[in-house]
Amino acid sequence: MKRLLLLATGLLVGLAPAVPLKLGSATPELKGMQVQNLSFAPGEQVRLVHEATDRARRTWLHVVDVRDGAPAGQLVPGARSARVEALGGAKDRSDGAVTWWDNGGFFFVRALSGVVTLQYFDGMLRDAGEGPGRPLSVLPMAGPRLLAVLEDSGGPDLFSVDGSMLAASARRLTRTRDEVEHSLVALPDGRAAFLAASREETRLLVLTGESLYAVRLGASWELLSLAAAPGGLVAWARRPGAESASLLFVDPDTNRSRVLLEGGFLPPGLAPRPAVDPAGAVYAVRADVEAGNPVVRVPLDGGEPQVVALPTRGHQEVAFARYPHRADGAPWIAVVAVGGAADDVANHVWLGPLASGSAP
Amino acid sequence: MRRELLLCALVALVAVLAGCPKGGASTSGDSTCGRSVAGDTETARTRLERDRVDEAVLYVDGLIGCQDALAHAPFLDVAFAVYEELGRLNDAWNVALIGTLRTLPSQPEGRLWRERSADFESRYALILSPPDHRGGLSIAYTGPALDEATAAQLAAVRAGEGVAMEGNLVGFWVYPATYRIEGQTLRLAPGQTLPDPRP
Repeated sequence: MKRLLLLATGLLVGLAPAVPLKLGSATPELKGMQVQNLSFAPGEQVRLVHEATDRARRTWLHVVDVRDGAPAGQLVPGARSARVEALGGAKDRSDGAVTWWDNGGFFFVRALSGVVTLQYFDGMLRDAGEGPGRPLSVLPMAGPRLLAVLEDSGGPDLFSVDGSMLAASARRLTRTRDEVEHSLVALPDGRAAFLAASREETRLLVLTGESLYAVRLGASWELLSLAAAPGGLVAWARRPGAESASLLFVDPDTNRSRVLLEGGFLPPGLAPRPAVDPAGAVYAVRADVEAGNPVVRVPLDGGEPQVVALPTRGHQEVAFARYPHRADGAPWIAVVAVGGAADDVANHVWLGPLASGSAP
Repeated sequence: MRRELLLCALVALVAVLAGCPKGGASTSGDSTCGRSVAGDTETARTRLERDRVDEAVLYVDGLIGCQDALAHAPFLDVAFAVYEELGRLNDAWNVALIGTLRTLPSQPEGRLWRERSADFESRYALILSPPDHRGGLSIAYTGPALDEATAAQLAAVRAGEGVAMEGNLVGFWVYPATYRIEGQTLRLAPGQTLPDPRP
């Protein structure tokens, strides 16, 4: 029966013009590792970074550059010196919380030997300095300045840093003992939004200047991750007790929200951000095991979600980006999916241009 | 190696390192050159393995001016790694130069140093200036993360404190990045050599 279902699904996918995805994580260093948290770079060059975690919970960052249509990968090194890395330096690192600065580089948080630092990678590892607390995540803002979640003896709080280095003067914007601030998002009008999670609830907060206000959602939702979208915000959320996740559109000015998709699939651990198409849609994975957890395009205007024809199945995450300065102008999609070979149970990153024929 | 270096560069380099040890001989006579080269080299290496490069460099700086250390292959190995890891690229280049010129290309160690030098040249950018005493270049980093290593590299460029290169030129090794050099915004790519842009 399972084989019949697989065959039927394969036929259905085969009828649609499938997106020509290419494997982006096929490097010997990543063999056997679990990949997650896809993040496309802004700008002109198609670039993506993702995490890869081994059985010992060590996490590396893998940068995928697409040149002449072919993906080429590079691990963010543990050390500046290849010799130091060969000696065993930084082998137990855990890297994550990536935030792109521009097409050329991104900030990330590195935990190594009990020390947590903010780093910047543009081909070189650069220490972004020390702030008044342990960095958990940052968000570059105009100015330039950083919004940073820093953890001190009072727990994690949001800070505004005057500059792009943590050592610059910082002002505390929140002071909470039992909340964890995360999922920082920049809005087009200069405001920022983030989630504050405690044992009791999750709150959606908006930062205007240095003033905060909470967006009150009518229904009881556990908010999991956030992304900016045309006209508002899109959040992954879960109703109490529910197994599947829902995509919400939230207008932070009116407190209004509406459900875009029920039955969404999220991988274990921290929820990835919603994959927003600035042209007015969200790409998401629908929890439907028999259909191979398909990727769907969800219009922001309330239209019906439609399956995107992909050659992969067993999807866990999806990311989306537009590169309007490229000659072909095609948007790019990337997915985490279980690999193609029958005996390959590891997940992999696949990516490719979303041609007009394959987008619903 | 892309730039064949003159033997006099080595002679001058060793003379400089031996004559002005950072942690070595001093006017008070408390020379660190009397310490065990093998012992301190091993200590520096284990510090590196434990991600404590800031401690490892103390041992390397203490020995870098000592003739015995410069003749000790494991010390050069660790010193090169420590200086590169800290972004002290000019110092790392000097160590690689000593390692290269102390060995024959046909020796395994000689091949290793030549490979390291080639790899070094491919990873970093080089600014080449004539030694015409015009002083250092005006240079600033334009990216978001001006770390201590980059700041020190640029300070050396501004001060005109580089390394001896072929053709009696002065070289400044810097990280690949976008810089504002003499009023021009330039992206220095890995492996790129930039001639002094001043007329």
